[in-house]
Amino acid sequence: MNHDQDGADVLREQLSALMDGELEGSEKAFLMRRLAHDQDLKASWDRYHQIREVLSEPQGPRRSMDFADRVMAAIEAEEAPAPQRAIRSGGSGQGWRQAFGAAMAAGVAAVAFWVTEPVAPELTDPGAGRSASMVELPANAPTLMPVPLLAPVQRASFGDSGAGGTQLAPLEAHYLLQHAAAGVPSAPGTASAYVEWAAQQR
Amino acid sequence: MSEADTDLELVSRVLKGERKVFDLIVRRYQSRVCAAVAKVLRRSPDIEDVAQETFLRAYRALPSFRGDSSFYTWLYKIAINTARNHLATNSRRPQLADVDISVAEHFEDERRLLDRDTPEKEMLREEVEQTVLKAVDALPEDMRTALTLREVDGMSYEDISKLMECPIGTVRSRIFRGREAIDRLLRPLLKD
Repeated sequence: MNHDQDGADVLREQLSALMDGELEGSEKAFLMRRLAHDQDLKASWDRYHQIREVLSEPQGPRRSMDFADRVMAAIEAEEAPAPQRAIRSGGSGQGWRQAFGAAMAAGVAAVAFWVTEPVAPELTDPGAGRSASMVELPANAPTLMPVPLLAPVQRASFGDSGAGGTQLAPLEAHYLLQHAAAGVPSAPGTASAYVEWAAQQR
Repeated sequence: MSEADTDLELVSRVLKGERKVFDLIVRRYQSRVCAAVAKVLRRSPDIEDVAQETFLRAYRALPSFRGDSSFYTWLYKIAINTARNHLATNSRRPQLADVDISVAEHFEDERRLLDRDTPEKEMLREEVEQTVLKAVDALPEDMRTALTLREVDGMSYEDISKLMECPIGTVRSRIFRGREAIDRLLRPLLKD
């Protein structure tokens, strides 16, 4: 018996002990690593378990000879879209590139929207140096006029408000103005135009 | 160290990304899972499908396995639940009583219900079983006793060593040599 055969026998004896839960420490760690890649050892593992099956469950239900292969094929088929999962995890730069691409697309769409949206000429006053929302709106510009200008919004009543429900509460107005200031520049017809108008009405 | 420790090690390796190690788990427990499923489904041709679903569910849920119970206990619960769900889902379908008697004759042998093999594979399986049983009979007495105590009675090496009044290393060697003697006869049969 040559040296290689001796080594293989030692490995299979360790495998036999491993399947019985009788292998310890470094032997076990080494064999586990080896087992994942050594086809001969895996085949021995399979045959040893077949022997166990015949001896321990002689009257047990039979299974197909290729049952394990079918299970593993099903698992591999299920995991086929795994690369998608890897992208979501953000582990590679590809995810960032995709996110950047999406952000760029959204930006272009937003620019296209503002450029192409029709704006009433009387609302654009480049010489004034003010935003469109600060322009005094003419009475005959109903098309772009925010609805609140035509009919003051009723405050939502929560039962204890005796203010008649026609004005924004100071806290509300402050809150809305702060948010409007933090947001994008006002444009005609946006909520911030209304907020500024409502604040001026107080 | 126990079989449960071996299972934990295998599970740990799968969770670290060595997906193919799950194959070792399947081969280790395929028969027991089929048996567990068969307890619930009894005479059903779906036992293998449900057993396969059990392993798929176990694979998906592996990250949630915390080792509070043994791996096989955990797997067994999944098998039973999967089988019960299958039974509930299919309770509205026609039962065996509705099947034509000529078809039902094929269901007489319960063990055959799991069989999806071709006639060639069925013959091979028979041959494997006969080979194992004959090989065990042909083993020297000490090897056969050690292997039988281990595989049939599920005894630990320590208990076998006490029973046979020999060192644990000897038990380990006898069991291995017994397996090898059987395996030498199996290899030509199972060579793909």
